[in-house]
Amino acid sequence: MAHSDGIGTRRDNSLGGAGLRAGVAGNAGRDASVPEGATGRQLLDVSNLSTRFQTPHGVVTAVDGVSFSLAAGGSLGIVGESGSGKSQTLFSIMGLLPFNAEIQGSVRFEGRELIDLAPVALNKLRGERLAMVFQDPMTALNPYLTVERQLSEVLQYHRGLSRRQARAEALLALQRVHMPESARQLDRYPHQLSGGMRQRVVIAMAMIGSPALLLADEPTTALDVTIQADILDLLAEQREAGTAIVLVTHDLGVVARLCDRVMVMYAGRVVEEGWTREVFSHPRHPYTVGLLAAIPRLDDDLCNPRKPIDGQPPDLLALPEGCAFAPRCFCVREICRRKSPKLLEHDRDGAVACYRENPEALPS
Amino acid sequence: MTLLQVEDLSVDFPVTGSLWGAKSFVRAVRNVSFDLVSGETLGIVGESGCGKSTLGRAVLALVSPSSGRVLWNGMDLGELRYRDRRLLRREMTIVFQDPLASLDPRMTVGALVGEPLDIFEPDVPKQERYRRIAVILERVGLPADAIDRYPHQFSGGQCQRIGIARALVSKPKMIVCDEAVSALDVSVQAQIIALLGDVRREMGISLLFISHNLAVVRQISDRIMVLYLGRVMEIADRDSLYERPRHPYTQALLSAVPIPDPDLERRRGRVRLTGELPSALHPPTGCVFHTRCSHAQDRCRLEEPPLDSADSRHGVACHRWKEIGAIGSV
Repeated sequence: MAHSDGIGTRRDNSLGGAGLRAGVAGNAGRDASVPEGATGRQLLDVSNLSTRFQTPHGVVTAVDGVSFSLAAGGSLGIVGESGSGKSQTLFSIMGLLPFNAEIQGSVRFEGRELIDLAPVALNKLRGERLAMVFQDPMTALNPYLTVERQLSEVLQYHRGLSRRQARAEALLALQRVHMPESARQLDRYPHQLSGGMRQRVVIAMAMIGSPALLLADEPTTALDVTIQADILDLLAEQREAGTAIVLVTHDLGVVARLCDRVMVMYAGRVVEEGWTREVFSHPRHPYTVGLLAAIPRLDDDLCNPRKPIDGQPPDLLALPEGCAFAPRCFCVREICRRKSPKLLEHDRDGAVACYRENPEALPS
Repeated sequence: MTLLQVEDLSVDFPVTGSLWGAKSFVRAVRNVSFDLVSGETLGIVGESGCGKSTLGRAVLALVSPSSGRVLWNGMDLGELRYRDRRLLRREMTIVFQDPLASLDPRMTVGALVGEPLDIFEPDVPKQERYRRIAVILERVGLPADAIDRYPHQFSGGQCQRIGIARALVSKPKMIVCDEAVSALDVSVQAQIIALLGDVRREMGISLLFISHNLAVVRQISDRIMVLYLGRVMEIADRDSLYERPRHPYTQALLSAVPIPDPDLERRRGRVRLTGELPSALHPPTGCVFHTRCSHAQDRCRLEEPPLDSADSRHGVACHRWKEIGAIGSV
């Protein structure tokens, strides 16, 4: 069974198109309409998600036809540069978009469609089944509230606990994230904590309802490297305990440490997806190849210098026609500048959006 | 030839707790000594608050040391008059972290890059000035028409190229790069590292490369200094430091850096730190690292370890480095 471990990619990467979804056995069944609450193994099913922003300078398509699914307990890393749409994909799933955003497509979580879900129902899910960890723990916490109040807010809202019960639960939550001197921290304010401790509070808040899915947006980018390693250990612990994780990062090393599957995004689209091991050892998309060759590693052979990717990251307001990576690609063809390649599955249980890898997709 | 000598440099910042409270000091840099020979690149690594940026600024005399000396070609910067010190800024320049914030948005790229020439070589004829700006812009990989454009019209990576052009135009002998690639996208980071490496070789410039990213520092540096709470923990040639790190802090730092290889990640061991980073206002007694070190003994809590020589070019500030031994990170 191709998707025995659960995370698969839908085949279609183009806007509004329904086609090309059959194929791998594991995928075929999922596409039939699934009854409420009986989604099989898929916890999260994102299909053809597009998010556009109306800006004074024009319409920006931040997320462009993204599809993926994630099984209960799975872990997926989304990597890309700033502006690649990786964070906006998370915000779209979580329903945290600003007023000028327009969202299309479908996000099914535990069998329920999240897009167009009433705010009350969505609030019930968020914090209970679905939780998020943000990049900057200082701005994610309310500076006026003690750690105890931040944590018990969730418990009082979702479980209707009394203040005293909530305090006891909050203490347990802090202990679960290995907060040093957890009892003392309950009465402290965010500014009294270090960055790593703040991120532990944020993770404790996210995990307090034992969610089925944790969305983490660059959870370690603002932290020092030794603290980052501790927070990654902590996230791995949550994953071992059965919480599925979608982790957004620009650091491929973080993905290697934490995620079974990886999805590479460029200019709002998925360019490659697959098992982390497979993608990192045999990258197929020229952008993935370029990224892996460009990033300095601790174990580099210094006689072979890193090869930077030429050119600049794309301007989302002026995307080229065809493949967005074509202007920087080392194997660009004439067709790439005219028509965007679709994300097609390959035999190693992954998918790539490139004509070089999918010559059969070339128009005859 | 020794270009820069830093001798026992300390920088303190005064902090007043309350209006009438006793004045206390953040000891940002403590008794740091090192030499930099011409053409050499010294990487300075450490986590936030370790004093690496303060050290870079003290070397450029942008902050004044509370004790110790900085010698530039044998001249003590502290003893120079303001005007003479200012003139030295053509020989020692800086590239900042945030490329856009370090460029005046109202100046054209030509004016920005030409500014050091206006200050240090006001007699250069207009045509020659223009030519030199154009040459340097081309060298850093900017299009020829960049000269009349404004910083906001460029991407982050290109703005950093402008910053580098500005640092290069006065033909410096040393550039302090303060987290010069940290704010850039990963695909662009490699371009800027390559550019810095190339100009350094071509023009024989020394770099003080300050960064928290150990993989980046390894790419560009000949020698690396590891700081913790303002003190030097370890200083060594690149390969010696990365392959045989002796200080437990360096070992922990290196083992914490994730490597994009899932199989390798599973195999690697981790040197874990205990506890939290202490406040620089009240640094621990003895070895400042002892509160987080798994090898700490009574002696470490009382006595500050001197920078011991593991070999002639490898210094390590730890009482127990011989017992601990070198632990590779990969």
